[in-house]
Amino acid sequence: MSRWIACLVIESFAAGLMRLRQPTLARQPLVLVEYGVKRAKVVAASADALALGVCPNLTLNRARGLCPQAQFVGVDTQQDEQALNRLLDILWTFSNRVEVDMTAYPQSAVCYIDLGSLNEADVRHLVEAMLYAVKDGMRLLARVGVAGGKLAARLAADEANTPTLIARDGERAFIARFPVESLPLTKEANHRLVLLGLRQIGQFADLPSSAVLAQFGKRGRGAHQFAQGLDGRPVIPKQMPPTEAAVRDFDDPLSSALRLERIFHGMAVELEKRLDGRTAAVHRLVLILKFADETCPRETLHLLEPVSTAANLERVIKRLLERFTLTHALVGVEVQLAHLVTSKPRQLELFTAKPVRQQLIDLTQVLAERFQHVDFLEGELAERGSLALERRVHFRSVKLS
Amino acid sequence: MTRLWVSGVPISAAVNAEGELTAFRWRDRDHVVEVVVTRWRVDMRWWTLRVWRDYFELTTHSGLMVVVYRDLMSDDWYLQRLYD
Amino acid sequence: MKREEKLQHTLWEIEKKWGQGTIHSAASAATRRAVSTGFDTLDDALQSGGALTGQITVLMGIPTSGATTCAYRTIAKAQAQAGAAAYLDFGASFDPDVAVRCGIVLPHLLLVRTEQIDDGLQVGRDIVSANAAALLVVDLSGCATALSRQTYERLADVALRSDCAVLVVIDRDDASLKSIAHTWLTFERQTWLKNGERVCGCHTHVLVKKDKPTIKIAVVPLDITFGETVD
Repeated sequence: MSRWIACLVIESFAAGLMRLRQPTLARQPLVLVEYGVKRAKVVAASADALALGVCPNLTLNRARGLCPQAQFVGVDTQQDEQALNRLLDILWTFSNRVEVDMTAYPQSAVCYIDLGSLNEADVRHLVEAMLYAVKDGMRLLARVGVAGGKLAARLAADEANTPTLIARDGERAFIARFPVESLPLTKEANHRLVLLGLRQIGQFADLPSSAVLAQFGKRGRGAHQFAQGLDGRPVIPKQMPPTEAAVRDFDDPLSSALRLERIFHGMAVELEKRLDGRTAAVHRLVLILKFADETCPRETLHLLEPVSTAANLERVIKRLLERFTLTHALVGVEVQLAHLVTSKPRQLELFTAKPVRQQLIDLTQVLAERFQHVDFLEGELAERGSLALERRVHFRSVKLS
Repeated sequence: MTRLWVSGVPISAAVNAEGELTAFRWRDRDHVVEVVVTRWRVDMRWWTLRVWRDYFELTTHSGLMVVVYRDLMSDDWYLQRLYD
Repeated sequence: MKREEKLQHTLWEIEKKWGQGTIHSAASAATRRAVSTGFDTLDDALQSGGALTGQITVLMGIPTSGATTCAYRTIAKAQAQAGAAAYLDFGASFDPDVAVRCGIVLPHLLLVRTEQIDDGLQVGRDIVSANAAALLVVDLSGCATALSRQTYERLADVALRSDCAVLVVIDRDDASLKSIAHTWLTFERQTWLKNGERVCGCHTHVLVKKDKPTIKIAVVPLDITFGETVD
């Protein structure tokens, strides 16, 4: 099984979000502007505005000149960030390792998702589910490209027929036709390639490595390897925001250790539920005690292995409590959870954790022997997009031992 | 989502003078065509087993949204997809 | 210590010793999970949060009303929550092309097809009693044969002792099933949803009847889109 990286792209992300918030903006080209600076500039634009030459970082005046019929609206950075977090929440149910390409944001949302090692059929099913989850959760359409490397995955995401999966040994041939501007090279290097008559990645890939190193240095050599389908860059995951906390304030100052134990138990149960709702686990716990003399000391514990169950949370809270000297009665306590990680990428677990499915298959084996006139089948996708509908699907008998 | 009959369910169809589908009978009930949403033609595999069909995605006055096709080899009509 | 505090303390001590969840309130069905239907408003109207395990939930609707969409989305949710699902496809009309767009994981959905309905239902009962799947869907839409009350009772009996939710999809009223089912959802299409001039779904009302399907308890409006099904 090969290792796969998916690249999910939502084009015109910020513009699409603005149009969802204000549907009347859908009728004309839309340009989102950052006002209040020396020179107002374009932050993002809808596809129809892009087609007329508007692009991010253009001055407002220039954009007005190119697209006078567009609607020019102030960008809503906060809302866009919240939407990006929503997108990440969705993608985190598929994998722990999700990286956002911040150079493309907010014009586009480009995320790389490390899918680990799966067989090809499972990858297809997973990304279909991902596309649906994004459409359902964001109300925006996305495209997905899947390959062994980030570059090929990104270029595959631009293909019309989504999702597009590029086999490992087909990456070099796939990316060959794309322009050299797709490579992570400086503008100057790109310009020199064009001057040399090298416009496509394939042409660049065919150059001898020594010549590339001499002309373009180490960075050029790196890009040269990508061009040859050797892109070993890992997905660098973004951390989940540390937002969980439980607070208890006491009307009467507390001095009973037993009561405090019960309170911590209740807080641990509450935090477990919240973590479960996010399928998250925590690496760092902070315990804050609020004493009657208005002091609020705190203790922090970093865990090598993240925890998520009430029992484990309670255990860690107790360890933190032992570090305090309880000199006064307590008027409140707070437990903060920081450095959250996805505890189990649910969707990915479906493909890698066999026990649940295996039980059904084992039972099917027995049932198939008993019921000779019953077919036990799995549906499969066949010729995607075939105009003859029956060719899009295939049914095969469940593989029994 | 939809139900799909891979082999198609034979239906009896009524067409007008222009050859356009106006109604069809399915599950002992007549369904009058309300509007044809999309149509497309398929002509493939002519060198082996030809698949030559006119497809219609349509709604009916009885509240169905379906995809039916006319097999242009046999002139038979089939219901292939039902949106539900 | 006040009496209630004493009771709470005792309960807490028991749970501390024996683990959380040792004590269940007699009034609550704490052991039953709910499988989301894929529609938040419908889950809320069901009050349980979806189709309960151990019980039969019926989705009834003449086509095109959205009942199948709801069934597919429930399958996707069941798979996401707990793993495998099984589908008794008596009409041989399951659509994998569109199912994946609902979020269904095809390799984790067992399709059972047979012309012998009794055999198919026995397979279903065996799957449920073995807890081999989180959800069993019994698709009776288009079935000419009406099943007996006894048949439904046997299915309900097996479900009650299991941790599996059972969904029955049907396109007509069935008095026998109505007396057995715990929850009955009736889908009625109101209008088409259009994208410009093109029909892309339907606006449906779902009548939710729980426990005793004779008392209407909620009407839930849903917008059901059919997804990008035709290129």
